[in-house]
Amino acid sequence: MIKILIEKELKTILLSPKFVAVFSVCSILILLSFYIGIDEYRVALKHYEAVNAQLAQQTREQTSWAAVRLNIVRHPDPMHIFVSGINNDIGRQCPITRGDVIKLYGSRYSDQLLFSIFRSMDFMFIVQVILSLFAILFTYDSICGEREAGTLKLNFANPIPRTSYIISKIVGSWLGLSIPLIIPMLLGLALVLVCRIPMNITHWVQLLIIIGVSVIYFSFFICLGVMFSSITKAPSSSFLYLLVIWIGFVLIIPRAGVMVAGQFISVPTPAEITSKLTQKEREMSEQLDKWQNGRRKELESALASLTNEEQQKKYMEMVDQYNKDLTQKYDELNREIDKYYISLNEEWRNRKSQQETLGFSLSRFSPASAFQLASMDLAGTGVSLKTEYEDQLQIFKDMFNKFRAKKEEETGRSLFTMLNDDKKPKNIDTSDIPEFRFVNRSLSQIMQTTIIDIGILAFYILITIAGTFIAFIRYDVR
Amino acid sequence: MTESINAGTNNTIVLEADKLTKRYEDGVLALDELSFTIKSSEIYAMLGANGAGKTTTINLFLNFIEPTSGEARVMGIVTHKEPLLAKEKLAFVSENVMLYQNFTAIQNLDYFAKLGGKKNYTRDDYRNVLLRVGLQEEAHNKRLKGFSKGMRQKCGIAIAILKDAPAILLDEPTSGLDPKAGYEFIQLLDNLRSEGKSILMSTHDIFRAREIADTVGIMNQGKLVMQAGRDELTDKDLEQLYMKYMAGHMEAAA
Ligand SMILES: Nc1ncnc2c1ncn2[C@@H]1O[C@H](COP(=O)(O)OP(=O)(O)OP(=O)(O)O)[C@@H](O)[C@H]1O
Ligand SMILES: [Mg+2]
Repeated sequence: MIKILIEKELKTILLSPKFVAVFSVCSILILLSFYIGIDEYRVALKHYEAVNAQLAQQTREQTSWAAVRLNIVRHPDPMHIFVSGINNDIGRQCPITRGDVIKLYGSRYSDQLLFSIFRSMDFMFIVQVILSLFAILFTYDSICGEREAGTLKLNFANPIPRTSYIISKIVGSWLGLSIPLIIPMLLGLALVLVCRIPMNITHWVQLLIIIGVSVIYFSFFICLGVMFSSITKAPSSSFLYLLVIWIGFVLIIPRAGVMVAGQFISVPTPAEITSKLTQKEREMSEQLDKWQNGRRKELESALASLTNEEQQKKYMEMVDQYNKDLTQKYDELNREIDKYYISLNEEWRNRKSQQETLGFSLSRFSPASAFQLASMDLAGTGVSLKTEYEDQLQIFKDMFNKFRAKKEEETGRSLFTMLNDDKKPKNIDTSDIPEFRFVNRSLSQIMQTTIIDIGILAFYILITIAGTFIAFIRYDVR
Repeated sequence: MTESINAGTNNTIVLEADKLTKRYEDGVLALDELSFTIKSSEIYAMLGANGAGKTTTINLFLNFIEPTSGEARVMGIVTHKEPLLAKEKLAFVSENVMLYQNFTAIQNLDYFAKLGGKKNYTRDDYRNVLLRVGLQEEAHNKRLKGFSKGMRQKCGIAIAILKDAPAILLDEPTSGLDPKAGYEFIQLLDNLRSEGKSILMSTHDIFRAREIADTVGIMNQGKLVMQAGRDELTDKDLEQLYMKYMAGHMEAAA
């Protein structure tokens, strides 16, 4: 029975003009997104190679280690083809200089502002926005449309259990919409292979999980569509409700979650931190002044009542003591300032992570953000990319500076090497210069957060399926 | 036509309304203790003004709605207690047959036949039944989209025939059929009766009802106000009867 019903469902979908439209739009968009992604990856790779080659050239021509200027470029990752995430927003490059703080620059969006206006249209965007909309277009009238057309009555003049009917509705619509997703996806993957994008096993596994999460995500919208089609009597009202919910889930909740988090948990800006620090420094210096004034008065009165040698000796001791205490006090206050600075920094980090946690937790009420966060994590383009990149750069910088110090000891510290015997200065040997390579989080690390998002999506699907069953068991088929 | 009445010798009761009452959620009493029986090889025509309760009766037999009290039975099966079992014994043609617009006539037939549990029909069977209901061969493989109301009605009847159930429920089956198709339809009903089917049809067509029905029931405001067998009817003028009962009840109601 279910087989007949599913067959019919698939047939009605495949024969509908809606399907042809959705299939062609999906094919074009998905293939285009893969093509553009691959193209961008190649451009990024060329950029990476060009910068590195130039840098290597410059370094090789140096005659002193002191003059070596490293400029790190983040190696492009094939996963960025599918989910660009924040990859285009954060700087790709970072100069490694002595003592400087880590400062990224040269993000794609800052270089090419035009692209930042509409953002990139990657595979994730297509699934998140377009496929979810198509899922609704496919299913908003699946029950109420049949009721309005009068075919539902005719179906139920036959001995069909309602549960079978609703199951085949969901499965049929799901299969029908999988086709416009899976065929262009396979073609896209073929494109990746043909273009020889260097994907390793982990990449493929991550990509497969992204596809899996996409399927779970659009399954939710199919279930949602079927649910509303079995709650309402008229397709027009079903479509209206679904559109409102879609707008809420895809456009509003993700942004609102982050905005609300921004309202509730404020993160101090760098300027605020600096001004707080200056304030503290002023307080400390005032405190020092006060302390000094007090002690000086003591000394002055002691000086005024100087009469004999013994007292003079005592006075000299007092001055000594004062100088000792002053250094101690000075160090003490400086330590306090340092401590304050560290605590400010810590608080800033805590606040920031609290804000992130709250923002993401609120956003996750929407399956669209659960899907987005999961696929960004899987592709390694989530918000953690920036901090991870910076942390790894910091470690590299420390290591490189040690390396350079060792080299300088060996070859001499001066910026200008002595010209001995009219010979040209010897170039430095760069054969063992350390190389920076950004390391992505491991799959098991990624899955720790991704599993939550998958759980959220599964939970939503269960709720909609339960809702569909409850609504349809009592549905008036007339 | 006389011999076909006698054709069904085992006159078992197939369709039965037993004090069937339906009050809708908004308080409208659509059926008020309606009772009748229809035997095999019998055609029962329900007449009555708009809103008399004809469609409600048919919907109760199909368990599209639950009765407020009373029972509708198909071969002894109470429809609201065992709807799936009852529906195996029922074929249904709705007032305005709507099928899958993107399927051809044959595809629609195939789907609904399978739903009705008939999985062994061949294309020839579909062709023959469509010819039997009077749908020209060139339309068989066309999508339903371009079909006229009468053509859709014919497909609906074909589906009911294919189900081969002991009882057939028809809600205003001749509305929308042209005179020739209407005439052919009456012949078809006669055929089905001689095959032993028990047929309940609602109609506004007094003349067709008189022509084909074994029993005519006139309904008004959910009640059966008159019921007459074929033999009684030959003497009376049905139209006058209909008007009389309607008028009588109008006065009673006023
Ligand atoms: N879903 C419903 N909710 C409330 N009242 C209804 C509903 N369906 C029908 N009714 C009422 O029940 C009564 C009987 O309606 P029904 O459709 O059975 O009449 P009918 O004899 O088939 O009329 P027609 O000849 O116009 O088809 C009418 O008064 C109608 O208004
Ligand atoms: Mg009616």
